[in-house]
Amino acid sequence: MTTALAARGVRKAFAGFRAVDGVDLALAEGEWVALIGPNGAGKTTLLNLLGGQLRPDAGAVYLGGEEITHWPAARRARAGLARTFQVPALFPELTVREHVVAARLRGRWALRFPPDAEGVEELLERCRLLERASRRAGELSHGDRRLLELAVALALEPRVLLLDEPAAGLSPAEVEGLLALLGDLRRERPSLAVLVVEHDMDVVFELADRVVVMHRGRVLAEGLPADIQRDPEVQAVYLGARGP
Amino acid sequence: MTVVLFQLLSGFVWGWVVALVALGLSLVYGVMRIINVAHGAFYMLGAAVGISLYEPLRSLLGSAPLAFSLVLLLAPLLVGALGALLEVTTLRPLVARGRFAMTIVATFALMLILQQGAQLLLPGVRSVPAPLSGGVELLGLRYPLYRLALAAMALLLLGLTALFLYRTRFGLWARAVRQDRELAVSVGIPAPWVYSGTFALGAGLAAAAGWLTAPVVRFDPQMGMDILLQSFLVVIVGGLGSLRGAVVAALLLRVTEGLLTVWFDPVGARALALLLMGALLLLRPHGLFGRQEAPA
Amino acid sequence: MSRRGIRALEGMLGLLGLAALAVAPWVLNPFQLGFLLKIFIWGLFAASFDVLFGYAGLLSLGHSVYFGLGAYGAAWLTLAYGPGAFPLALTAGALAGGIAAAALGALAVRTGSHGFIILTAVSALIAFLGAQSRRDLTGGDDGLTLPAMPLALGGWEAGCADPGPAYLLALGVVVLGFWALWRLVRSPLGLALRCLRENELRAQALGYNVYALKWLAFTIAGLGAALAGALYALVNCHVSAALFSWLVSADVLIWTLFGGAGTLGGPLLGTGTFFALRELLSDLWPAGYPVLVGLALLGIARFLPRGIVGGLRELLNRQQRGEAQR
Repeated sequence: MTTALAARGVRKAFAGFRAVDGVDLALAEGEWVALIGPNGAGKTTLLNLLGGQLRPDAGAVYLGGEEITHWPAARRARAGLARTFQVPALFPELTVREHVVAARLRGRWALRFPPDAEGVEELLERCRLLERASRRAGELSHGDRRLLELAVALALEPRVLLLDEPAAGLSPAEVEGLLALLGDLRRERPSLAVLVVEHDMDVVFELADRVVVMHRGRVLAEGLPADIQRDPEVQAVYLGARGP
Repeated sequence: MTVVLFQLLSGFVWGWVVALVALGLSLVYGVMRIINVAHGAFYMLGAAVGISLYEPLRSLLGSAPLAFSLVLLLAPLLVGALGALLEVTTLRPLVARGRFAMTIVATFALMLILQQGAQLLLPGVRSVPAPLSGGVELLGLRYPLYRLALAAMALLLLGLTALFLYRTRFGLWARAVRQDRELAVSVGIPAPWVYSGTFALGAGLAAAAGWLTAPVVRFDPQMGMDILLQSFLVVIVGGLGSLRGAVVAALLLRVTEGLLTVWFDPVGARALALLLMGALLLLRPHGLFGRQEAPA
Repeated sequence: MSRRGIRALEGMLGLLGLAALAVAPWVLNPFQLGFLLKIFIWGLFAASFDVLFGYAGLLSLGHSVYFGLGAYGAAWLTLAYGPGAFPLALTAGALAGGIAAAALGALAVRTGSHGFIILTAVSALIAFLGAQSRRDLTGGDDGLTLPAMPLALGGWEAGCADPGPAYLLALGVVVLGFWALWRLVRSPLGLALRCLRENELRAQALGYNVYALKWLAFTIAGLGAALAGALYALVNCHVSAALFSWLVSADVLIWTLFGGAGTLGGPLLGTGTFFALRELLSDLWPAGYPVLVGLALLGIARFLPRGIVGGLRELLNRQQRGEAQR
């Protein structure tokens, strides 16, 4: 199996607080991994280190075997590493269609648009945004903004996709829709590797091949979803605090 | 040699004045996150209000230094009060909506209105005599006494402002809002009130500087523009939001300008000094004492 | 009305307007013609500023530097090679501004958004003081006077007071300039600039190199401003250090905001409005112009942040949505 994305001993501290404190993580091609842990465990910081929004104090990040630790976010995106953000704030004044078009250009620009209308419409249809394609992002509902986040990330045609709480704030019906969409994606792009940060355990167990638990900036445990569920240490810090 | 010494000294004197003006600008930027284009107009207003008050007060009190000092108290108070009023009426709604570009436009509008207002109310160029005459012998050079007093007063005001910021409750609030606005609000600091107070303080500092320089420059409604842009540069070269940096950069700018005046014409020397200071940003894009601007 | 219908109507109106402007020299007196010409040239300047401010979201208070460089570039070439070399003067002036913008832009886009504003404002002061200081090159506040371009139409020769044929040349250049800017903002590059304006972090996450984009926007805007400046010098027959003043930079911000940032047409409308206002008040109450402009700006900042054209578009959008819902 080829490694799609890997982190080796990455650390990041903010004013002395060790948000990420020596994490090793690897995603194989086609593997779907869930990253869970209590609030403040360092999940989003780790995602920012992988996506290039932050630079690590120590350690290294690899994309498909190539070291990308010092690459800016834009270069990572062009190399096939896409991500969504926890707060779905995109380009408020741009229409939904413009978002997808801009993302499909993948940082390239020219004086003419490439003839790509079908790809755009297809992606909008798949993400259930076609009807609202001419709306501005600022006018969308929260659920639609989450979908647009995903549409934009998919438009980059990534090798690796990082999802930061894709189901947060969605209604149960919207979560159903999201899971169906992600299920289709998994079938159609078998080599896509996905790392998803999520609080909703139903979503985690539905999606993930493997679960990584973070606590206080470190990896506390990792394994199959069923094993993780039974792990007493994990239950103590995380599941126990929420579950029955 | 005397020329060099004279220019060096003048650069130092003006450096403290620019530092005083830049301090107000930097404070307002740090606390309110607005770039106050009207700051130079408050400097000009300090001179304008001072000139209007000075003659009547001097004939009333019969003493020039006493009248001058009283005006130094009154002019910043009046201009500061006007600043607070303008902040509440024009800037507060924009700051509350987070319209950053619009706050620049609004302060530019205030600048136009204040300048033109001064032009209409104070027609004709006027100046005031220095309250201290005479000079000081320094290494074979006779330097006007008032200019030295001017530097000392600017330094004193800078010190008082620092004391105010570090020893009073308002100062604590202002520093807290500057550090982290949301946290400050969540612990109960009245941010709008801090904004108005800081804006008034900034306007008052500029006005004090304006009145202090009134005896050594000719009054002109546009006199605030040059010093505004110098203060801009000083604030950014010092590092946005760094008060210490602004003072250091102000001295550096004016001393450099003074030295260049020895070899160039005054206007060219100023352009060159600004250019050199700007070039410093090539080496340190975030200023001498600056940190990387936090992502908005 | 459908969107396509509106497009067609707009196109027709545009062509009609262009035709009307082309016959203006035979209809208007020289003063009126000169006035119209001024609006077009400064309007092109404002549109170039709009690419930077309205599209890329970068607020520059030093855009006058490039207008001034374009004007002086053209002026020096005209004085060196005679008025017959005006095509060369126009090109060289535009290039001079573009190159200067490329150089300063490389520094300015790295300083953060607030640093950018201040640095550009200071650059205008430096250019202004520099121009005042080197009177030998620039003529300082008195400026330089140029001979008129040797253009003739039939028996009608262009002069500095009576532009005539020069008006038509300038109109052509301005239309071309607007067309180029319009193509640019409708291209993928324009879309990328708008992404950048809306959310820099997210634009990066889409693979856009924001520094390169900002630099490009700055350079293109500088080129456009310098073209307008060069045209101004040739048509106006006079340039002075005052062109560099940061107040000119503030003016262009005002025109753009009033007309509507991010619309290209809005800045032209804003320029025309403020020129007309100044002309009107210069007879009635000259001292009142800055005060009125100040009050108008406060009103725009508070109540009309999208400007006239932006506000109208908003209204139209809302109306269409209302119809769609019914």
